[in-house]
Amino acid sequence: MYRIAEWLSRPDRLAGLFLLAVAGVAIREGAPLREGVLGPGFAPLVAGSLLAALALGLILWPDHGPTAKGEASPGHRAAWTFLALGLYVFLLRPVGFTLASAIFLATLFRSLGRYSLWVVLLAATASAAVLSVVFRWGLHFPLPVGAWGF
Amino acid sequence: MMNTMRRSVRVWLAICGTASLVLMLVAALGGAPAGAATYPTRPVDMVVAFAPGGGADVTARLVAGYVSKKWGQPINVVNRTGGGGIVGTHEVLTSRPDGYTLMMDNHAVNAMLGASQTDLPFKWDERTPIARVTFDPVFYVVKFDAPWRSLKEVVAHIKANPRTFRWGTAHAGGISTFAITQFFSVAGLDIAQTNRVVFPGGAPTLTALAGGHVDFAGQQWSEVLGLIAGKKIRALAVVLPGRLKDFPDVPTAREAGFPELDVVGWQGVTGPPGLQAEVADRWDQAIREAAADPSFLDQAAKIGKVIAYLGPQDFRKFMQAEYDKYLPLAIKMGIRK
Amino acid sequence: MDTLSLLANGFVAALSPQNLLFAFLGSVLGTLVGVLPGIGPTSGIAILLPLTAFLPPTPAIIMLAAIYYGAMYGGSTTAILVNIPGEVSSVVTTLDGYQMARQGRAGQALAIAAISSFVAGTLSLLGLTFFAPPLADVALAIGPPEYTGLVILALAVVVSLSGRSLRKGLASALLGALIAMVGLDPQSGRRRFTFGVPQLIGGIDFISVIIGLYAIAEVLVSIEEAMARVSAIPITRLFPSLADIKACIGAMVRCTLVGFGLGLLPGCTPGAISFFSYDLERRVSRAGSQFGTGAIQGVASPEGANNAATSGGFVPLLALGIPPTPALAVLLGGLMIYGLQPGPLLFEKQPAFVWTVIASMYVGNVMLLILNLPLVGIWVRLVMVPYPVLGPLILVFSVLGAFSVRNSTFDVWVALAFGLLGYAMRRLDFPETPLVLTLILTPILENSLRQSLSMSAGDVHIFFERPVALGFAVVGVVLTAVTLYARRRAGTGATGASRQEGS
Repeated sequence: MYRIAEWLSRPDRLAGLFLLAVAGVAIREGAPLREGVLGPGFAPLVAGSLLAALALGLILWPDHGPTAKGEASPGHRAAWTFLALGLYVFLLRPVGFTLASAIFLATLFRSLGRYSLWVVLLAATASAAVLSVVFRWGLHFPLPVGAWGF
Repeated sequence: MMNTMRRSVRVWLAICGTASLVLMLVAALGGAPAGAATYPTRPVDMVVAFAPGGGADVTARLVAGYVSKKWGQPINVVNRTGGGGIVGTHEVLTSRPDGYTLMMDNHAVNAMLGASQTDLPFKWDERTPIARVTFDPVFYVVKFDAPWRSLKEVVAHIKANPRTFRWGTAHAGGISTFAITQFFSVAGLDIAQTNRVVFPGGAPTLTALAGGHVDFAGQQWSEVLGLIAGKKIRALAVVLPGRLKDFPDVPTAREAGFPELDVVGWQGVTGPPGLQAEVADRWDQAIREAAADPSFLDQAAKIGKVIAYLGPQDFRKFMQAEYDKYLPLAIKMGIRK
Repeated sequence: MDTLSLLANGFVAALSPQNLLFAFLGSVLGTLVGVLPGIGPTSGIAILLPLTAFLPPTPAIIMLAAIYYGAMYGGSTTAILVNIPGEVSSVVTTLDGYQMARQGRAGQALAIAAISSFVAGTLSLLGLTFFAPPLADVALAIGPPEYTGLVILALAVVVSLSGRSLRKGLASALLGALIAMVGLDPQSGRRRFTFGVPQLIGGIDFISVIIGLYAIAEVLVSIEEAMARVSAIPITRLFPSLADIKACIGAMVRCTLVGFGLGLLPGCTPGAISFFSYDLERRVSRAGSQFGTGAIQGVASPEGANNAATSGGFVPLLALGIPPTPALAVLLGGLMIYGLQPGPLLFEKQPAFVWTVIASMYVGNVMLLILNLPLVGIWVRLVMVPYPVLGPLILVFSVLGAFSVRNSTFDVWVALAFGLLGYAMRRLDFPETPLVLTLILTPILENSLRQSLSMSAGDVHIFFERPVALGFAVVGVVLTAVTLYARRRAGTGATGASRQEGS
């Protein structure tokens, strides 16, 4: 089991597996749609088949070792940022663009930049406010409005 | 950062932030509904399920401009494109029926859609008709130097050489498909022997026609007017009760010998199911007045539309009649899925 | 000559103080909007159209044209400074532009982008002015088989932009193709890859992909790696030297021709054209081997090309009434509201209006040059903001942009998903450029191929009977072979232009 996991964990192999899955979906979607001269299923089938071949190639013959950049950091900051981003989008409809942006910015300014709390809150609120004023009221951009009307 | 930021900067930030917050609060409070005032008490969204610049969009802007001036409240035209109009339509039909989200409906997302597709994420007739506003008549067109001078000559040619005849449509199941399908059906021609070429929109279809890549097309006024004026394509007939002022030489379908042709494009205002009657009435009244206003009619002609007002009840009947017309055509042509 | 006097009158109208003011306003707004990741001319005009509603026709048109050009320029600014293209046509600019920024030459990159855009835009407007009607007829003769050939030609570009690993580049390209197929099949109306989600029926919004793949992924990567990426780089000089500009002359001429010529063709978007121009320049230019590491021609070429493509696009728009790209369709809608009735008779029936519009396009080009060259210093300083502040702000802009296109949170989630994909692709060394290119090209290829076969009732010989189509296809195959051979010769893909190179 461990050997398989190790064999799989080469980055190219993981990528290959993902692409193989995508190719599989494509072929499954395309196959029943074959009709006419070149039906709607033709393109997915062709693209899916080619992708499957390439994916298999990546799995069986991955490029050597990690990238030439040297092994990068494990990605914690990126993961955290992405999580915050997800929460931000989730909050858009309930609390509105302005508040959600302020919360998001404050969270990241503080955790990524380690600035003091007051400065962070001020900067985040100011930025969110300015953006809202410029884009929503100034340029009439459609932006999500929360339950409290802004 | 605290240490390196000068005092003045911090003060400035504080002022900016506070000012903005205050501004926003004022705006939010100012926009709140004030008791039992008449509709509308705040801006209304008119959703168009198609891209800006298209037939539904320009009509929406025309109507929105007129009505917002009349009522003193902004009517925002919002484009929600995708899926041939399904995405925007779905959004409106599932929104709150409070009168602040309405739709510039058109032939493509109404009965025609209901007849063509069986698995829509909504029921095509569950919507509140408010008023039909415009027609966008279909023109049957050929390349400018094509040898046929009338629809009858086209029919004769198709009977003689079906296999080399190519006709173009915008999209696989849109109004041009129905227009041409009906033409073949009414003229007693076997459509299966001819070649159909599908394009992603009216503009590419007509470009292909003008360039000689297809022989025949049926598109709407707003789409054909440029190329006809420029003598790149020629209209053989228009599907309307009477000739258009701007095209005195183009016979109607009836005059061309095919009175049964009646596929027509239209736009109208509709709302989600369960819309309040007062809202619908106010809009109906506004559109009725617009339809009688000469300047409104002028502007409509400029964007290639004929004013064709129908009140809510007649509009509903019209929608049903369309469905009855398109359903058999869709089944026969194999469009329905 | 009559044309010249009409043009002169147009200039007089365009240069009135009121109109100049609106041109300026439009340029500023357009640039502001263009700087937002993913929001380019199309969305910019669509969103800002209401602002012009209360203006009389001429200033409104001028403002709209200025917004358009401004948005294009704004997109290049962020592409160069932070590796985030403002919209599709700026994607290629990141390849060399950002590298230049990392070498401290951001000012030169920005300046050459403005200069090249101006030169190509002005020259191509000349083409528009004097050759519009006959060129429009040429555009009409290009039909489905010719487009098929053209896309086959584009395959050579995909191969050459694949970066280090060809198979990863191809995998990326195929991924782009599959993404393009989500939604309604344009030929049959059948739903593909929608999995029962109504919002997917409309397909995956292109802008969300760009925002996710470039803006969000870029921030995620930067936050993870050295966060003091761009801010620590000293700026050596703000303007290109005369030698630099001289080196770009060839590029500017070529990109004007390519951009204008391809821009004529309905359906050929400035985004795709910028790829073509970049690739051509790389093969032909003396500095070709440096493309991808900060060659100044690598910025001049795509930037000029997409401006020239805009002018080229105006030919079918004004002469035939046919908008060749979505952006111009929106512009056309805006113009129609003001009474412009596009079509071949436009030049005869409404000459004053048309020539004012064309003159204001010249003015818009100049305005942007004047506006932005001094601003280069400011832009560059703005980017010195520490990344823990800049990064999250960029993410907010991304969310803002993704939402505002169709007013939908679904699009924002899509952008996030592509952000994740983009991050994975960068970590795993998969090039993103092929994905974007096939995303643009697949609908064109699928449509043209099936249309051609419909035209000929399934007979493949239609491709061989039409010389232009055959020509394109043959050139495409030959070029692809040549590129493959060159890659083989140079070892493992040292000629590839990959965003990963030089990181």
